[in-house]
Amino acid sequence: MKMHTSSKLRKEFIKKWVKGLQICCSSKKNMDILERKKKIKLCADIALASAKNETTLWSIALISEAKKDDENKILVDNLLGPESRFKPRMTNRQMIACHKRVRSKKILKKSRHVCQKMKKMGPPKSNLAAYIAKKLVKRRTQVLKRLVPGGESMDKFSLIKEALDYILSLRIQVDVMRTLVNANEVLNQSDSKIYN
Amino acid sequence: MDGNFFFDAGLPLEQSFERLTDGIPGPNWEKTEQFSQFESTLFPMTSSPVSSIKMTSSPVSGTKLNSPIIDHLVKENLPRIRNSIPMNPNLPFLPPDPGFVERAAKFSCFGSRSFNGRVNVNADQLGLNSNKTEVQIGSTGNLTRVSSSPALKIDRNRVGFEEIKSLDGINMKLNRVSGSVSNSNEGSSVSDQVPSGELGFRNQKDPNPRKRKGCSSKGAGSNTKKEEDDVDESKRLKKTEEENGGKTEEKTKPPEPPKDYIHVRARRGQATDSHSLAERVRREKISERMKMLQNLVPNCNKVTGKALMLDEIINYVQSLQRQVEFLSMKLATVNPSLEFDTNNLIISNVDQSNQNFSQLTSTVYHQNPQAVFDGSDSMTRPVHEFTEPFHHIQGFGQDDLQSIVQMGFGENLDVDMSFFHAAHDQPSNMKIEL
Repeated sequence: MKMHTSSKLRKEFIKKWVKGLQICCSSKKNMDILERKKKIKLCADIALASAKNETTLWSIALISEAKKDDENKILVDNLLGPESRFKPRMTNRQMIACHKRVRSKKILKKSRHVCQKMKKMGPPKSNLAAYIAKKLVKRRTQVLKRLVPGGESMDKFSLIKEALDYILSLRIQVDVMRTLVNANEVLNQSDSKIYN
Repeated sequence: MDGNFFFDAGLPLEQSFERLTDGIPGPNWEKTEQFSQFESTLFPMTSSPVSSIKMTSSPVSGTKLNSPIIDHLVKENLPRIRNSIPMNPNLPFLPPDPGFVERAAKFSCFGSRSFNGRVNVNADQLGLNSNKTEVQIGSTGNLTRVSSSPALKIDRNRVGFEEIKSLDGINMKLNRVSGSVSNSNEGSSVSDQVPSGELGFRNQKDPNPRKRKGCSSKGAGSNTKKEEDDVDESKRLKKTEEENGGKTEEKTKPPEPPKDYIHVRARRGQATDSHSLAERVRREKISERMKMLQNLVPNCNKVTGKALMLDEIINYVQSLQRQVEFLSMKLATVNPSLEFDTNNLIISNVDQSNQNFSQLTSTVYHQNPQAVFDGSDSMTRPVHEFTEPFHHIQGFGQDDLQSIVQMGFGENLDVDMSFFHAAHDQPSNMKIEL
């Protein structure tokens, strides 16, 4: 079942990616290489996220982030088609405010916890190993949050779930791109052989 | 599935103990002593359904009320006995009291499950509750894991659900995590038979075995902890006692409909306030997810512990992202001539018409006119040869890869061979990135 869904996802991804690339190429003819790379990557990312059809948080976050840029917006809208339900959930300002709120709440919570802990257990180093372990885990979850798109506003549990899904989709993306690159290289080689 | 056991472990026992402690002097007292002896001999063995059944069957002969239950018990439990334990010849003769026999039947069901690491708060409850009856805490501690065998189900329907109702007010939650499962078979059959008896227990079977394995060590560890929250438990006990008193006559009441929320029972020796319970549920969810992730991320089987796992996950995600960047850069270096577009054309055509060979050839023709002449005949051949090496490559969609590669192979057979040999054995021209 997993392979079935992944192949379906893969096909969707390819379709959307090609569509996006076509839109890209039709707009501008001469871009420098970095720009092209960016466009390619962007198209790939958006295609991947939209192939998910709003089922996962990270895809939604990725698309809404991509929409923030005005120049990408047209591309994205075109890519997602007329039935694009991806209205940016909030405007930029709202998102910033939301983040701030979330962060301040977290800070409050943390301070409360710390106070309680200090009251309960005298020296925090009594259980040194566990304390260190917890810190390590915390630090790593922070890093993971930064990696997974939209991970800042996820609790630990959903973060892991999203990371799981994100890994799967990234794998598909890498696979498809790699086959394309390989095929392209084959074409190039054959071309050079023919022309030699 | 397993969680129900705890509930049932606590409640019928409590009720039965209540009956014992109702202050009826004389025969009941002796009964309890004998009963405690029975227990203490019964439960040090990990599972002693054989002995218990044999013991209960003899006194049952006098009682007509409970014989169907016992017979049922015997039939159900005997096939399920995994651990054969020699019968203890020292088991006392049990008086033919109907209520007592019923209770004994209930307790005998407990024996068919392993008690390793599954002791929980019930022990404390029973210990506190039965202070008056001097039932040993050690033995009752082992009674907590009830196998919800069908015989027990009958009792549960009568007895358990009243108690469950009473406990709702205390906001108890069933513990999803159980210790080691000795009888997984039994467990699954039980869960089939007890659909109506579930308390809105939302667990799927999948997370349960995983949790069991993961937490068996934890449970075993908690066995040795002392009870910490007597206060909470005594409160709960008092409440159940009140309810018990009122409900002894309602034994024939039909079972309550299953509740809607997840019940978790606190493990022995751990805090029981709602915060920590919720937190524990959360933690277990997280650990379950981590295990799933373990299967996904390569080289993660030997790693244990959250921090290391997270480390691996982060590395993997970072590497995948970097690969995407690199590949997109590589694609950008594609000669920005028709090839880029034709590549896309190929792919789009491929997807739209997977089986349409003519269209494929037409696109190839557009791309490399002279190659078609070479390729059209040989195109059929490479397909069979070259799909094979790709079978072992994981995750490749056969269709698109095949058709993409067909394009490439239409041109030049020599190139084809090298490409696929590369895929198969060593990379010669093609660098297969890993």
